Amino acid sequence: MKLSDSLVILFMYGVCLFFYILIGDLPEDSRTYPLTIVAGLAVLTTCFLLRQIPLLFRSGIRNDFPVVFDAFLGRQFFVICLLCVAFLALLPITGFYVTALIFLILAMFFLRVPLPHLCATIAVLGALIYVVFTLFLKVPMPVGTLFQ
Amino acid sequence: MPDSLNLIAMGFMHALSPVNLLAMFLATVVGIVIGCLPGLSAAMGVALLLPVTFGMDPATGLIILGGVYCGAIFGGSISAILIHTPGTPASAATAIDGYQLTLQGKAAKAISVACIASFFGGLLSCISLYSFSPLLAQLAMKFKSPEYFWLSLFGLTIIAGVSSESMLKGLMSGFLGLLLSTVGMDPMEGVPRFTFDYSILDSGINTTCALIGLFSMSQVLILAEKSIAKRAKPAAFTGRIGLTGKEIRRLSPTVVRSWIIGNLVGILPGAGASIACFMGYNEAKRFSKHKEEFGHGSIEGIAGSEAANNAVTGGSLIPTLTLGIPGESVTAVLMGGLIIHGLQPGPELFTTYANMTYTFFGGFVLIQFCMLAVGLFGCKGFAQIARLSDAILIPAIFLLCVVGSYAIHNNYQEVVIMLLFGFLGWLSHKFGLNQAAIVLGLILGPIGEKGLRRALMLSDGDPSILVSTPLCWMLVGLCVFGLLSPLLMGRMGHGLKK
Repeated sequence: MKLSDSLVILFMYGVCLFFYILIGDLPEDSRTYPLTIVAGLAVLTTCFLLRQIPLLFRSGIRNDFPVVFDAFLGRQFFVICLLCVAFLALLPITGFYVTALIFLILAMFFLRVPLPHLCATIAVLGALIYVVFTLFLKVPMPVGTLFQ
Repeated sequence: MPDSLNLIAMGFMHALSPVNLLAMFLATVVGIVIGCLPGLSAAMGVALLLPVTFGMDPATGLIILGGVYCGAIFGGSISAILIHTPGTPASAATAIDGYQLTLQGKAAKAISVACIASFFGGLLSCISLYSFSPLLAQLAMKFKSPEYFWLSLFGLTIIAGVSSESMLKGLMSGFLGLLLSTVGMDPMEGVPRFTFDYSILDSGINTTCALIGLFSMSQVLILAEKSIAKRAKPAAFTGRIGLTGKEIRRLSPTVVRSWIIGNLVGILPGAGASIACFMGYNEAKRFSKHKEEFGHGSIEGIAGSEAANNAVTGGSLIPTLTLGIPGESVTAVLMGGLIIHGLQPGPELFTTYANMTYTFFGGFVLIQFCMLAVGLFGCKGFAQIARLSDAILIPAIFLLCVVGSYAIHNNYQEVVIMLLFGFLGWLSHKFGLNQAAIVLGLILGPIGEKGLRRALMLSDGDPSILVSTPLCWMLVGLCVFGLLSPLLMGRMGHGLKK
């Protein structure tokens, strides 16, 4: 049985349990449908587990993470994730355009984009977003509490 | 019949308006750019463009999404031919002979064949779109609540089963989507479910945010985990773009065969352009008088693959628009686009909203001409774009995901939802779950729930109402077919790739 599959099974049972607990708070008439779906998901997960049991007895839990995460660059991935989360955290404070500028510079600098390409990307992307979303679609981009 | 002809003519008139022409030109260019960038998919492009279509007339919005779809499927062939890297899986078979022609200094010929075959494949697929869609819509008019319940279940079984490595994982993904679709107000009782007192969740999880997250944001994470690949320099080509009369005559039977194959594959939910291209290629080889050229630079091989994958586009729209069952992940996103504009796929599109639907159909035909012109005249430029580094794409796509999800309701919380779905999409990709099935569960969930609960309400809780009509039984049969089809598709796909 593959480690990744066992995590999928745990995740699905976790989702079922989470929703099952929440269903308890719903009025009687609203419970049936979500309960049916939770039961369906639990049955499917159990079927998947039953299919894995012979493999579990034959070879135990086989760590397939080297295959699943083949060529996975942890540092690069987590730095990009961190930048994305930081972008969302900063967005209400510094507003969209300033945050986007900081994000683009940091992300492309980290990914070693040559300076002329970095400048061109910022200019093109900034112009594109401004024309399409601010001018054409009239989306009021967040200004940020700092500049309000 | 005269009514249909009037609608078709009127559709073309509307599609030819300057706004629609400009929209289809820009969308085709964007689609080709997305298609020729290896690693970016048509579904990602359509999901990213969804928010841009919000404020527009629904027909113009759909024309834009259709333009991106067709453009991306064709665009994949440019990088397949010039840098031996298919931009999308739909062009995998094109790379076999396309790159061989490039090595022989005949890149211009290869691009011309790909472009012209894509044009005819797409154009001919519009014939079936025009002829079969109204017929299927008439059948859908007979559907009542129990049938809608089975229809949603059928949609889920077929896409979950076919497009996943493991059918059980596909079905689990679909049920996860169904469970997520229960978030929001109970449609019958009006009680909030699983909203955690967030008012943004009262109307359920926003489908567009989920689509952008699952298809576009997840792509950012997929690109971010790998080392930034150095793209090969595209081969320079100087030859004349275009084909001679003799070459066109030689390719015609291949294009017609691939059109039929691509159309059938497109109509069959769950299959898609990546299967069609290999089927088209194989049939082109089987019927060719120059079999020895295959694998060494055959123009018939390119035409077979490209006509088939573009013929899928029109075919896959038929079940999407008439029954609400997307043929593949791109049409699942397109269906999300319809719902965003307040339109429900089904017979209403051919009655109440017939003007809009036929304008889209007219636009879809014109998109093929646009694709031909842009493809032939712009291929050299697109070849350079195919070299765009992932280091630029990662932050650029992320920013577009943020802007797109924010623009829906100008709400910050929806950006967070998009990001969460992005991580879910990335995890699904890593652990073999199916993003398309999750989306389908989200889209079909409310239809199935209303169908089931209304039917049970009408019958005072008697479940036999769910199998009370021949149509119900037919749909039950289709669900069984949906569950069995992975075996068939698995064998077909395995055999073809071999």
